[in-house]
Amino acid sequence: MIHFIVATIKEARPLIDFYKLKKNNNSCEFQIFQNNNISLTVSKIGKVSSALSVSHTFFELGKKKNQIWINFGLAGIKNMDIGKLFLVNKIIDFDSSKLFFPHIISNFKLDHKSCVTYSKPNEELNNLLSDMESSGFFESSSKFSSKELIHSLKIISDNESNKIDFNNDEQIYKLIEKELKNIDQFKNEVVKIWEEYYEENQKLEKIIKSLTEKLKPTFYQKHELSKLIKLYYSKYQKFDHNILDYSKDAKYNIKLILEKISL
Amino acid sequence: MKFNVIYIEEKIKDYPNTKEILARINYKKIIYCENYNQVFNPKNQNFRIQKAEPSIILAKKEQNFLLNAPEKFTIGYSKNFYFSHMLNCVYDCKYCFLQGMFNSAHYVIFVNYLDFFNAIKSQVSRSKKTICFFSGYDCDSLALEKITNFLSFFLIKFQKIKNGILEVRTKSTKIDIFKQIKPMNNIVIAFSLNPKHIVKKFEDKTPSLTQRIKAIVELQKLGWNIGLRFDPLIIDNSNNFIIYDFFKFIFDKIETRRIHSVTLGKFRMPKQFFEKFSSLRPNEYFFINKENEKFKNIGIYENQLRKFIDKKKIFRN
Ligand code: SF4
Repeated sequence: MIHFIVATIKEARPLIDFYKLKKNNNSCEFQIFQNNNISLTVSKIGKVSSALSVSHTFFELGKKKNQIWINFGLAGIKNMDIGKLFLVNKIIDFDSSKLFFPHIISNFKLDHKSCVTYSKPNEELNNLLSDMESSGFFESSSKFSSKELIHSLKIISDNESNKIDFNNDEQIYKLIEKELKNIDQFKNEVVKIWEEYYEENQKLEKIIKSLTEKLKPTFYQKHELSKLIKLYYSKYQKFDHNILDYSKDAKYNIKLILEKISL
Repeated sequence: MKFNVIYIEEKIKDYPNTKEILARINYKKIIYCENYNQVFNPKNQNFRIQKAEPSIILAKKEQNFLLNAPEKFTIGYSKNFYFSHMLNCVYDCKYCFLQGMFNSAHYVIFVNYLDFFNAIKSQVSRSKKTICFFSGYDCDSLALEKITNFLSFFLIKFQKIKNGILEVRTKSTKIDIFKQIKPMNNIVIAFSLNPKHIVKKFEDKTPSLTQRIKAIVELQKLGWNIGLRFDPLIIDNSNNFIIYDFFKFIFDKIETRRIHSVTLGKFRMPKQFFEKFSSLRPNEYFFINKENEKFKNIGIYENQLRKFIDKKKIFRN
């Protein structure tokens, strides 16, 4: 699943419409909108809120590890045109000086820039993106996912000579709307990575979970079982439950799988 | 080689070697960090994803330039150290322990080469015995030479080290650097070798066995000392006869007299790395576990080796 974390409903609205997301009425603390593959959580402004909203989303939506997390929002910068979309390649937490480095690959066609996360609005813009969420978002989602699947996207809302009217919902909507295609393309590139490295794993985790519940293996056996199932899967591209005898214990079934993969 | 992103530690951005290395790289963007660990060490990284498109990280090694080699790890000298001017490797051997050891697949290059040399100089000055220094423990010493220029810097310096031996361990056949300088007695260019089908099956992106042997022959003609490293010797269901043929294939082509040393060892990976390795590469985990058990009779292969080379030159690791 792809989780978007967006600070305000104004910034979220174009994405909600684009992906046709529906409000999840079970979530009280944070507003969550979702469809089958995508969720969007409105985190509220600030890095702490952003971090909390990531945790909330993780626990609310099934505690699945290694999902895609994208922070999206508006940001200021001194010398770039309003409306330009950037991928963040380095996050600097202004208060703690902590640094985070998202994984950038050449398939990501967006321009990238470093971003400083402030705990108060930064009036003195410089040559780096200024926001109030990225560091909290990145640190929190790092607990639940691999770095390669965690990214921040920013659209320039103010520069040294201009700024948008943050009370004008329509202006914000139009600014973001123009970049929705690029945001979607970027998301698709990350999805490709996920599909290549994690999709199969997710299926396997499900199989392993169901076998562990049934066979009640010891800690060591669970480890062996999970490796063997991965191996079986890579050999046959599926897992056939009929090869097992659930009336017998884990040790016996480990032997059965070993025979099937002829080790 | 093209790189999308180069990470550089802020403190070394003006080092001449940093600039020289940068001039040799084709890259799109530089991102500065304070310490390479900020990029390299976070736990939540996927080695396999990064291996598909690694970045270079230019950094400064601050301490522990030389590490004591394990006791059994020797090519005939009583004191042994290893060091790495780089972390990670351009090749992608399926059995490589680096993927169990590191969280990231980015190539870290420590640009302060002179500090490595000074550590060696100071070590040999305190010893009457010859000390052996193994380069390329956490990388392949030669494969990225075009970018690092490490050996062009280091070999010339090492000429002055009288009681030191430098082993340059590699699978690379990019031997230009050794053609440019006079052969040195205290250098051993050590090639890691495995049977052809193992190279094909397990040593992704590496030069073929034939190419490696061609490089060995060329280097021997130039007068360089060569080491042969069957370490790890990976065996699959090939029988002893195939291993014998493999040795014969090599020794038929090279000049045995100019072989400095041969090492023979089985696949080994510290336990703490094995867990990660097993989840990254479940297939290889089982294969290697199973084959390793067969390898209790390593003596058979040593006996076969003795048919080709003086037993004094063979070391079991
Ligand atoms: S050549 Fe050596 S360091 Fe490089 S991938 Fe292969 S085993 Fe690892």
